[in-house]
Amino acid sequence: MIFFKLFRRLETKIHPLNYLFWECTTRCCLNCRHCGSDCISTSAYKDMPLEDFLKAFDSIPKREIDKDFIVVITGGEPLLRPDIEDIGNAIKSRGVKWGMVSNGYLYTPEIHSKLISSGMRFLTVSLDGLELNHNWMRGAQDSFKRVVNTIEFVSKDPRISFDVVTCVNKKNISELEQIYTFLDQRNVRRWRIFTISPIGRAKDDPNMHLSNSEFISLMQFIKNKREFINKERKKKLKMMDITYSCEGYVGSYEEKVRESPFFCRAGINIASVLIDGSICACPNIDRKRFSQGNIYVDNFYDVWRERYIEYRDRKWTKESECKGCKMWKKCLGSGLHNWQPEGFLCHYKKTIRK
Amino acid sequence: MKFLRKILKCFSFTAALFVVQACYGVYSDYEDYDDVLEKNLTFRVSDSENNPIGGVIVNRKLMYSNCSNCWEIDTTNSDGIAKFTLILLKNEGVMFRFDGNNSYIPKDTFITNFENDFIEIKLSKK
Ligand code: SF4
Ligand code: SF4
Repeated sequence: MIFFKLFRRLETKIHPLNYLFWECTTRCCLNCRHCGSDCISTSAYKDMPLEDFLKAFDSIPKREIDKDFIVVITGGEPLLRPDIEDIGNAIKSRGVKWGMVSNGYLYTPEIHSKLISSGMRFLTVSLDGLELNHNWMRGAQDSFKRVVNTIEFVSKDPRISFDVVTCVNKKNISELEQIYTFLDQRNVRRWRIFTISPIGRAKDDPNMHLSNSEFISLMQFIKNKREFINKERKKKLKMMDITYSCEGYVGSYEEKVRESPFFCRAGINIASVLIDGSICACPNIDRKRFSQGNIYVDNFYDVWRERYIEYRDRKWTKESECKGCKMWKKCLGSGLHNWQPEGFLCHYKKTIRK
Repeated sequence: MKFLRKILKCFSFTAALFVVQACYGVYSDYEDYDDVLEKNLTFRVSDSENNPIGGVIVNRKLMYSNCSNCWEIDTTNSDGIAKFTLILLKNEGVMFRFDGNNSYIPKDTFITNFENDFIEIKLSKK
C-alpha cells in the first residue's frame, strides 16, 4: 500500500497524459437505457471534423507521446462516421495507437480488417446480458445476435486487445455466471464489469441501480470468480479474466475485484476532447462542472499542463460529501464521474453490510 | 521525476498499476500488443523476361476473420507494383494469391520472412 501511495502521488505530480478520449460523434444506432451520454440517432451536435481534433492533438509535444499513449475513439457509435478509417490512419500516421468503444451492432469482419490496418489496437464492445436482457437494455431486438457475432470473430484475432464490458443492473445480475461461461466459451480474454452512475437517461430508471445488497453480491461474485480463475491458472488452464471497472473505491474488496487498487486517473493520465470541443477527462464526468477549456478557444496542451487543478488535488472532496470519512486517504473522494448534479455516489458505502 | 517513474515501471509487480482503464473506455493493456508488427510490403510482378505485368490482382488472405470474402485486394500498376500494409504477429505467415489476367498462370505464395519489404514475383505464361 505504501508503494501504491508513492506511485499515485508521483503519477499525480507528473500527470503524464497517455489516454486521450475523443468523443467524435454523439449519433448512435441504438437507444440504450443506460447510456451516459443521452445519445440519439440524430444528435444535437454535428460530428466533430477530424481536422479539429487533430489540431488539438498536434498541440501535444512529440516528446510527451510515449509508446503507451492511446487515443480512445468514443461516441455515440463511432462506426456511424463514414471517415472512421481516415480517422484511424491520421492517428496512426502520428505514431499513436488507438482504440474504440463500440456497441458492436454495425461491426463486420470487413470493417474490422480495415480498422486493424488503420492502427486500431484496442476494442471494447458491450454485452449487457443474455439475449432477452441485452436486447431490452439496448432497445433493439437483433442487438444481441449482432454483438455476439462481433465478439465471436474479434476474439479470434490476437492482434488486438479486446474486452467485453457489461453494465450490471437489476435485470442481469442473476445471469452473471451464465454470461461468464458464454464469453469464456467464445475465447474472450477479458470481461470488465461496471455499474451505473446516476447520469444520462439511466438516472431515472429504477432497474438500472443496484441495491446495496445486490452490489455486495456483485463484488462477491467478481472476487470469488477471480480466486477461482487464479487457482485454475495455476493448473495452466486458460480462463477469461474478470475485473470490476475503475468506478470507485470498494473498501475490503479492493484488489480482490481488480488487479490494482482504486485510482481515478481522470486529469492525471486521462483527458478528452468532447463533441462540442470541451476539454475534459472521462466522458461520463459532469462536463458542465469539470470541463477545463475548449479546443475552439484554448490550446489543448496548455490546458492539460496548466489547468485540471481539481483533478490533481482532490482535497476539495473532503470539504463536501466525503467530510469526515476515514477512508479518504485510500479513496481520495472516489471517481470524478460519481460527482454528478443529480447526486453523489460512494461505492464504499454500498459495500458496508448493515 | 520522470526517471523515477520509469524505474517504477520496470518492476514487474507494478505492471498492473500502469494499466489505465476508464469505465467508458478501452482497457489499455500494452502487453497484449507487444507481439504485433506492422510491415509494409511491395510486390513487383513480372514475366520470365522481367517485363512488369500490370493489372494482376493480388489477393491477401486475411487471417482471424471468419468472413466468407476474406481477401484484401490490390492490383498491380503498369510497373507491376502492388503494395500492402500488414498487421501481423511475430512469426506469422501470410498467404498471397496472384491472379494474372487470362494470359498468366495464377500463383500462391506463403510469406513468412518479412525482412525484405520488396518481393519479386514471377508469373508464367499459360
Ligand atoms: S465518503 Fe468519499 S472518501 Fe469516503 S469512501 Fe465514500 S467516496 Fe470515498
Ligand atoms: S472519472 Fe470515473 S471512469 Fe474516469 S478514471 Fe475516474 S473513476 Fe474511472
